[in-house]
Amino acid sequence: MKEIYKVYRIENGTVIDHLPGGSALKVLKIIGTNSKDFIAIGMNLDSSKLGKKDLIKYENKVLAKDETDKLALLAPGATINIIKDSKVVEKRKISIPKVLKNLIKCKNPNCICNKEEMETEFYLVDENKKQYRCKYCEREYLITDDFIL
Amino acid sequence: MKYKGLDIISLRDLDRDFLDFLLAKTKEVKEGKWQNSCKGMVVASLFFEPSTRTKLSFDTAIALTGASMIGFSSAGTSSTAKGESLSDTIKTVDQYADIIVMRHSIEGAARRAAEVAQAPIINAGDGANQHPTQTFLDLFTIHELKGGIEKLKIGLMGDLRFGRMIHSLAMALSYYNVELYLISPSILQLPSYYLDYLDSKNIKYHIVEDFVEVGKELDVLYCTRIQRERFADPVEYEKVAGCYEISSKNIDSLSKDTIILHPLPRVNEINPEVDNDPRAKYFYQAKNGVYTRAALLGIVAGNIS
Repeated sequence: MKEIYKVYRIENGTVIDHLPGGSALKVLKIIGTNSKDFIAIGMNLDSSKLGKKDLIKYENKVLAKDETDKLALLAPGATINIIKDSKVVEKRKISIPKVLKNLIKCKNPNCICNKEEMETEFYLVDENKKQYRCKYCEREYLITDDFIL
Repeated sequence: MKYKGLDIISLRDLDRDFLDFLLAKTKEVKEGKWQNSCKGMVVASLFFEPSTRTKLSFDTAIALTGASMIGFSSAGTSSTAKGESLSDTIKTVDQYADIIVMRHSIEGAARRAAEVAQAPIINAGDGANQHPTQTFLDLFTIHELKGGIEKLKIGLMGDLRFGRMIHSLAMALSYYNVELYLISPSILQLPSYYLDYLDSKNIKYHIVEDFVEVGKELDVLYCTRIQRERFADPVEYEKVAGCYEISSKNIDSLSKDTIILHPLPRVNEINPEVDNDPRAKYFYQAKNGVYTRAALLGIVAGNIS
């Protein structure tokens, strides 16, 4: 419990825990900071599982499933707890999203999405390989961190 | 009316029902039915990238449908040269035209155009990605000359790795119960994800390096160009290139009923001495492009049903 209090304890909201050490800012960029309430970030906390871990707490904001599923690309091992009245009311699993909207970029320099001001869109082809197909140029990629916009 | 307004962007979006419908209607158009199916309509023909064959084929098809045509034949003569975005060009043309045919060197351009236009978009080629109307005319020619597509043994020969026409055709043929012979030098073999795709559709295929080995088996031999620049070593190219040239020396390794197709233009892969052989059908195939495209225009216009 000592570790929890290193990062402000919330009564209601969402806790994203077990993020790889140093990844919290990237995660925030993906999920966004679209909340008027308090957001706490803890970086490089000691973790028996990961060595160092990050965590993020959104006060009074229950993230939607499609928002937390975005973590599948960056931190598939993260845990997501929804907190209500200081109790964990949901332990949520991350599923790999079927569609990625404006989350990753296409590596094909001749793809229209790299030529015009527009959103990108990718469709899941193979869940195990994390293979996605660009909606526009139809090229398929094994997605890694460096695809993230 | 089922396909009225349908965008024709990629083979991925289409199904067997559509392909069968298009084949049947193309036959009717060729027989003289459905003349003037787009009379009173305006078709925009936007060739951001120069093209001879596809453009003239579409021009002729548009004339057959009785539609009026507007457009340009290179990006240099469009407002793209002034820096206008593709989306803005398409949104503007959308105000004038009932159907938009477009070719572009950028992959995904047709898909993007379809997102911003009300009028149906027909993709006449988007970079190295898709060229669906070529595939339709290939299918029609095979269907017409062989009386169907099911159970045919079809050789796909040449650059199977980079050739977009081969990829689209393989995808379209996978809707039918065909057996494929993939004939190419090993470095230009069909990419593994297409082989996976064929496996997923239970399509039987054989990987072959020289068509002479399997020529007697084939109902259709579909050739494409092998590009010299794909080979790091020109000696390697010279070594293999001969296996992919059909000439009077090796044509009799095909059966007397094998038809030879090619999307054209050809370079060295079919010697002109073969042109008068009754099995050589590539110019006939090009003519079928006009009927296929005329049928497609009438279908997306909602006037061929």
